[in-house]
Order: sequence, then structure tokens, then C-alpha cells
Amino acid sequence: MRAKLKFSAPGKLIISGEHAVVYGYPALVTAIDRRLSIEGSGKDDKITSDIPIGAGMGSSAAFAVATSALRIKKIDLPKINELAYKLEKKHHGSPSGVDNTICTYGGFLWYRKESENLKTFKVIVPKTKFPKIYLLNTGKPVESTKEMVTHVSDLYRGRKSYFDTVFRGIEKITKEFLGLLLNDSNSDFDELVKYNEELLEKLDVVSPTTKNIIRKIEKIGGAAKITGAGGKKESSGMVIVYHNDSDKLLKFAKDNKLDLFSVKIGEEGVRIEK
Amino acid sequence: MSTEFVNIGTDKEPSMVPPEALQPDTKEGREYWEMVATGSVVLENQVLDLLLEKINESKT
Repeated sequence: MRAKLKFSAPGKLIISGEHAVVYGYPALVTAIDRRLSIEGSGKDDKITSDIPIGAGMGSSAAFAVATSALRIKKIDLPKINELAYKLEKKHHGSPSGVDNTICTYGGFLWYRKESENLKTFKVIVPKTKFPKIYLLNTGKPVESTKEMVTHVSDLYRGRKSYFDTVFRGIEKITKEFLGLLLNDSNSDFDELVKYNEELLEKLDVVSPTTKNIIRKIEKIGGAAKITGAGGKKESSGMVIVYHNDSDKLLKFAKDNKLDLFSVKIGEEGVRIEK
Repeated sequence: MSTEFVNIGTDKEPSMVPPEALQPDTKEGREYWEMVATGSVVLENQVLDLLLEKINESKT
């Protein structure tokens, strides 16, 4: 009888660069403390997960990475990453490699599509801790995410030079977030979050309801930005929220009946579970 | 897991995409397009245009 092994892999979150990344601008992603585990011997494996499905939080890649680890039967990061990429390719056709890489290595990852055939990846070893953040679930957008991608694409084609300026602004913020991680920036985390949100609103991917919640968070001294494709009619999906006084934020969420939960970022990649 | 890809191009110039790419209103389709928006899936500009064209065609 073969011994059962258990491996787990984290979900992920995009900190900065959503939408802009489609047009060759960089993105910064991180592993989170939501994980998917697979236990078994390659047959009738038991899967457990607390990563939301279809929310852009890497549930599919976490599955590919944990499955790869189970097949390889040990933690060999390059091998796991390579196999997980193959599985992702089988599933999605043309994965960039971002999701399997962050779910394998954990921490933070810098990514940019330089051209159709050249992509840059860099696993970031942080020199400092990022502030504690929360996720606010504004609900499932009524639009499909394809509509959001098309919407931004239409805007971009209509006013290319203007939206290039917006994307360059997002790129600058993504670099500043990276600078914070590397202890190489004097920017304030909350100001970067606010400015990032301002630019995402220029892309028209944030709904009036979500904007209203974000303005209220700013009013009590916090900062928030959507993470992922967004939504412009009613809900906008997940929102990253920061406040230096967590109690104030939790009270605000309770008073306004908002679905707010803490999330740890920069978490460990694939690992064997005892 | 999807393994059967769909050719949205021509026989001479095939462009293979997973079936969920053509069904953006389904759970799987939403996940696929979220991956496009966040850089997890890369579509060449031509393939993106072709895909959007195919989806629009299927709706009319």
C-alpha cells in the first residue's frame, strides 16, 4: 500500500497592475493565506480548499501546483512549477505562467509581458513587511469579466494616448509597491492604494456603489482599491482595504454590513503538510 | 479540466482556445476572462480580437 502524502498550495492576489498587464505593463502579485490541499497517493485524492473559485485568486493554479507536487512526491520547486505550467496549459491554453509560479514559490512576483513571445518574471524576496490588508467582497459583478476586458480594450483603442498615460501611472504605482517591498521607496502605502484606485476608476471598471464604499473608507482614514477585473454597473468583486487602525475598519464594516475579512500576503508557496 | 480546444482561426492559421473562452457568462468563462484581465492568461492581440468577434457572432 502506497503512503498517502498531503501537499498544499496558496491562492494569489493581484496587488497592482490589473488590466494594464494586458497591454504590456507590469503587475505585482502575491501569495495569500488561503490554500488548496490535496491528500492521497495519486488515486481518489482528497481535495480541500478555502480559495474562492472564479474570483481571480488562483484556485485553478493552486490545484495544478498541489497536484504536481503530489505527482513528484516531494518539494522540488522548479519541477513542480514546470509540471504545473503544463497542466495549466492543458486547461487554459495560453497561461502566462504567473499563477503557477506564485503558487509554487509563494511570496511576491513581478510580471510583465514584454512582447508576444517574451515574458519577464521575478520572484521578489521582500526586505520589509507589507502592511496588514483586508479584502472586502462587494459581490459578483453583473457583467461578465469578458465585458470588462472588452470595455477597457474599447476605451484604449478610442483614446490610446490618454489611456497609455493612465497605464503608465499604474506602472509607476506598481513599481512603488515593489520599492516598498525592497525598502527602496518613501511612498506611503495608503497613498499608493488610493492613487491606484483613482486610475482604475479612470478605466471605468469600478461601479458607483463600490466607489461610494471606497470614498467612505477614505473618509474614515483608510484606503481601498479593486483587485481583479472589477465591475462597473453594480458590484465590483474583491477590494483590497487598508487602514492603520484595524478596529476602525472592522467597526465600519460591521456598521455597514460589509463582508470584510483579513488576508495575509507574501505567504509560503507549495509545501508538504504533516 | 478542459482538454478539447476550439479552433477559432482557420485550418491554415489555427488559433486554439479552451471552450470556456467562448462562454464568458458561465462560471468557467468568468474565471478564464478574469485570468485574461489579471495577466494570468496571455492572448495575442489578434487572437483576442478574433475571440471577441466569435463571441459577438454567437450572440447575434
